[in-house]
Amino acid sequence: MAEAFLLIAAATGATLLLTVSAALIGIVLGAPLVLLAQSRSAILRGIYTVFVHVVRGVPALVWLFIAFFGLAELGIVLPALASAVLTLGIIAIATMAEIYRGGLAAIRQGQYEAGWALSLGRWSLAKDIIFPQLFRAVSPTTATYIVGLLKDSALASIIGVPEIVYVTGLEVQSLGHGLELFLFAGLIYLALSIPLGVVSRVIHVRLTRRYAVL
Amino acid sequence: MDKRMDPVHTDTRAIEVEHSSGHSFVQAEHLVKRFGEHRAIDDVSLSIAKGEVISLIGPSGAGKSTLLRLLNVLETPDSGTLRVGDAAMTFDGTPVKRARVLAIRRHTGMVFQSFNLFPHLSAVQNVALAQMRVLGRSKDEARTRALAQLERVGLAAKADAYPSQCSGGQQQRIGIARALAMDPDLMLFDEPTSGLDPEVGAEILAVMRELAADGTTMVMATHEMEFARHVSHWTCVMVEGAVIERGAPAQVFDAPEHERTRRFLSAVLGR
Repeated sequence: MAEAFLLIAAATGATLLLTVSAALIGIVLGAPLVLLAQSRSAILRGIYTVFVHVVRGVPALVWLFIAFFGLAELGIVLPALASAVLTLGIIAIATMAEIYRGGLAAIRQGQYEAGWALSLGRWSLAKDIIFPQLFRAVSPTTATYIVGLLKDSALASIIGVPEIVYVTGLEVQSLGHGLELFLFAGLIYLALSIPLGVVSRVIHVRLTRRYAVL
Repeated sequence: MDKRMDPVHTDTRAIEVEHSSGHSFVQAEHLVKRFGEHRAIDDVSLSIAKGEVISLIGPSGAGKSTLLRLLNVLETPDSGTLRVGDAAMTFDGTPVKRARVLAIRRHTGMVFQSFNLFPHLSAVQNVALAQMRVLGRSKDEARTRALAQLERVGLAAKADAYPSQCSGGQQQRIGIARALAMDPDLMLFDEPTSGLDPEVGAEILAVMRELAADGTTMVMATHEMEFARHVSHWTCVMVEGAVIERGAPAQVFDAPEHERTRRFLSAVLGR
């Protein structure tokens, strides 16, 4: 039993790896994607809309199977962990782009106009005016999404990524004690998600203490 | 109706030519701005000499704000020409050159009806930012000048406050300081008191009166008729995108020539 607890705790590393890499992919690559949504070209905006709806309209589990089993049939054999990072990462790109789009929509046109009227350059307008407000607007939603991503990473157990749920399942199969071991697994998720929530709230309060968010 | 056939229009054009006498600082000729089928600005010409204060009055939706926004090219005119100081542009529907637009904007400062302060920056940072980014002033110099401008609008004590911690009247004065800190040659005021209650609006008008007395060249869209009458040198009456009457405030307010002007004034002045 003690060994089972240790093995499950050790699998936290894989869960975090999966969550953090998918989140980073989404946070970084969601930014250029949302530029498509802001484009003057209807075609680029259309590409954005189709991508976001297709990616988010299909269950993550189905995408996971497509990436792991489906691509293998085409001769593209990805390891389980890579399939999971790829799948959750692409979904995170679409989700973060939508979060950014909501944040940008919350910034009033007058902010841009004030910047233009002051002759601010494009770079300064983005860096000094838009980005700080965008960051404040999206930080709570992003934190909530990352907590969701942490929990969604458990899906990867189905294709055999040795994260918390997969390792717990293996141990329960050989030792029994399903109640204790899965409760323990649940506690690990809580131990990760509660501090994340608290930290994000503290950061948000600190960022917005002195002004009402939009 | 063809404006050129309108006797009032022809008369007022004569006034403009007379007072500009070739030394205008701002020269706008035949500006037209359409939004779809709607002619928001319908062949407006305007010339402003250094130190003049021009008020734009008229019913809501007449194009007063749009005309101001054409003067710093926040909106691009569909046709016409515009010169502010030594920066000139001709508009013919083709894409405008960014450098030309920036050259015009460098001469102008704008004060908005909804203030448009940057909410994540303190008052002094609001005023200092563009000085550093656009004029290349050092942080210390920008801050010193920002504090001086805040002092000028009576808000030195609020330098480190954020916009949300300031009243509407204070926010608008920060907005004025922010525009003034760029040393503009022309200040554009877009109904600066419309979002404020009358008593607070008076604070703003007091600041504007001082600017006018200091010789600041100003164009203001306003519903403050008494203010327009006493502070401006010239008043333009706008209706449906056109300037239908212009002249010295005493003439426009006391002896309006155009029937539409009389109707507008009698409605707003309760006569």
